[in-house]
Amino acid sequence: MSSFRIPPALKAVFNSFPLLIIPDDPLPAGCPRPSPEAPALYVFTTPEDAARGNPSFNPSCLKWQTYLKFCGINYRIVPSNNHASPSRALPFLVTAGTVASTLPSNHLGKWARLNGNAPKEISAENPQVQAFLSLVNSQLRDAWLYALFLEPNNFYNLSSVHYRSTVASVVNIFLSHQMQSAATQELLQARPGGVISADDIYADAESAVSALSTVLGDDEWFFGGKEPGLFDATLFGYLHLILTLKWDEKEAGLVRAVKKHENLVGHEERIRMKMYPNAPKPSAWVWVEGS
Amino acid sequence: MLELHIWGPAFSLPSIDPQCNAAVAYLNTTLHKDEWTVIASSNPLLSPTRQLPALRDGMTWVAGFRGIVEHLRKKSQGLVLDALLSDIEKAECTAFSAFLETHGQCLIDLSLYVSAKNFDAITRSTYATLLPFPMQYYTPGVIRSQAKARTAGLGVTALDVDTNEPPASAATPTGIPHTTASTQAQPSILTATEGASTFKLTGLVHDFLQPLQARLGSSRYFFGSDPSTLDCLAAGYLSLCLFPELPHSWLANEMRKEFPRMCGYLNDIRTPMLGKFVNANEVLAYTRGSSEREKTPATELPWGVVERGDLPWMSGFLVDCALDAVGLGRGAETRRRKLQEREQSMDPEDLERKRKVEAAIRSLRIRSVLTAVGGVAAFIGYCVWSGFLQIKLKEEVEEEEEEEEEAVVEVETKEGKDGDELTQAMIEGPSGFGLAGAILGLRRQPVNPDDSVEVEVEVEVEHDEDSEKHDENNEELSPEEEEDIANDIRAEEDEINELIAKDVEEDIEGKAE
Repeated sequence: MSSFRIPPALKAVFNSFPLLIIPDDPLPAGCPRPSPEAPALYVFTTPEDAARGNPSFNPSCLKWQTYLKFCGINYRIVPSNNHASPSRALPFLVTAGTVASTLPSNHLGKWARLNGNAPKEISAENPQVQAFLSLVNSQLRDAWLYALFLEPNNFYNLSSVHYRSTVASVVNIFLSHQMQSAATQELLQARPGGVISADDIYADAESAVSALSTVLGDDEWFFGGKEPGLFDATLFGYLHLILTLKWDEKEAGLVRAVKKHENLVGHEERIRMKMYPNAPKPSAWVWVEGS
Repeated sequence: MLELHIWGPAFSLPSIDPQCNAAVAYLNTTLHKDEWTVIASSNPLLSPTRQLPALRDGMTWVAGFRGIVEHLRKKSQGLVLDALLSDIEKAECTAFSAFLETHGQCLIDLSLYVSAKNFDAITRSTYATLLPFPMQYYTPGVIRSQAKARTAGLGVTALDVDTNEPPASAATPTGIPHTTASTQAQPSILTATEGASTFKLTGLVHDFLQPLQARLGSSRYFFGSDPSTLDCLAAGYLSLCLFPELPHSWLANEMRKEFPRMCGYLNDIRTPMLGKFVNANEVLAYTRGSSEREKTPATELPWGVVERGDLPWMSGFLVDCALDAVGLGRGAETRRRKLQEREQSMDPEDLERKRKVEAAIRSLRIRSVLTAVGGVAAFIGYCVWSGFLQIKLKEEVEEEEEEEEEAVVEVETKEGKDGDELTQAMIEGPSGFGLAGAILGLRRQPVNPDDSVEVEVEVEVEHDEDSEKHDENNEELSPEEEEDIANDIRAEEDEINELIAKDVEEDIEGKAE
């Protein structure tokens, strides 16, 4: 201490910045607060659809939105985006009550079964369920990503409208670029060669869809379940969006593949009628006019 | 003759890549030995998707396990697997194949590539034996980073020591009670971190093998007593989980300990599908054509000789990279070809519509670029207007003023010789002081014909001082220059005079009305 003396000039500088601990700032006024009545599920959706309780336009959000309904949980939908989420991915749920906790999507299933009436579904441990789940999550998902983000017209007409919420057009261009490159990265993970072939992707999706149709057969729900479960919700997340989006005519390989299988269309309709009476219907879609 | 190009042999298996192994298993099961050869070229550039396995059938190339199976099925060459399966079984075959590929790939990535210990000790050196000189330093790293990207979401980064921070932070969150161990003997960073991730890894192995074991049951193959494509895939993926001998062999250990049924199944199908034991060195020597041709390696597989040497390979690689960099690579090319085909098959109406959409996109883009440019311009404009940038501008203005003042003084002094003219000029108004006077007037208050007298007086005083000051200083200019400047200034004066005269006239007219 004694050997080292602060030069007076430096000391003057230090003295002009006194050490002061300022109390924590309160949360911003716009910050969402947990409501005491109902838990809030943060999903990709528009404010109008959120008010009407319509399905989200993101498959994994729609999956959990639907599954929570299957469990009979009363919740409210909050339109949001990835930047709002603690895990950087939607959906997430903020539980009700004064001490609210935030649940990322991988804890949602357990929470829903504990807090609602777990549907009499087939166990997720079932090997068949696991296998078909990975089929949906690999081949169907790849085709979905390709059709929505990498097909130029679909991207312009559908995803850019849905996912770009800012008003500034420059930011939107940047966001589009980011989304497309993210989708490409995602697709390249399973294709180390770096070549994305649309034909292969659609062919894989077609075989996946027909495998799903075969395994559903004439049953009401997948794998002979008495009530719709998590797998039904997962598939509904894709099927509903595939069937209701206004795909560009030339880039609608996915919807054609699904429409070939009546039982899948029926499956989508059963869930839609029960859970989302206000949702858009597949028959309503028309080919997009290029304008 | 079909040629199957694969990644080279390793771990006593035909290939180091699961898809290649699966393709070998499929061809080995369905085709006779004379109908095909397998070539350990280890060169993904051969394939149209830059991905091995690739099958060459005459002039056509087919890539990937699924592509190869589909191609052979269409050709109906050899035995067709899965033909006897029921519809449900076929659907299950598709689903379990997807399951095997996604989950199996992740586990193999973790065990062979992401785990730093295994990669440094085994995998990297194995690739070095497979690849020619420059590529052996480049390719393994690329494959490893791809594997890391694929497994990034699983949260087992502890395996990868490169990216690992202090071991304690990685070990404690998972709750491994290693406190006693660390007091007795300092565990190395490796054991601490890898032990920490063991829980997670065990969970992953169980998630992967439990459904497969349940599906297999007690039958010989997945679907009864005959092999299916799923069995080929299982042979490809599971054998790379079980057979490699690695320093950190959690995957094989867990498999042997918890899933003896799967190990038994794999041992049963290995010999008929992948051949007994592949001696990598022998095969590679034969493949590269360095040993005598007659001495074929002693395996069940029909090994072939690779055609391309190191040099064409290297140049091919460089050309490929270059093409990719300028956007003419394989991906872009297939896309463009596809677009062209599509455009040709379209009817004109659709084409028109498509053009419109493209035009709309383009105009949107242009509009936003313009918005950006306009915004920046407006910002700069605002800065100038609000005075951020004034300092610099002011300096310039002052400089100009000074210059002009000097010039004016020249004129004045010259004019001063014949006093009549000077007084004449002064009487005529502020314009008598030239442009500098106008600017000075402007800067103080707007020039207004009505109060021009005041301005006159003010500027007059200044001018007298200035002229005195400059009288001594400005004798260096030559008479010609002086003349030129004087002429210039006179022209300006005339202009301003005219303008002011007009203003005054208008004013007077306005008042008269």
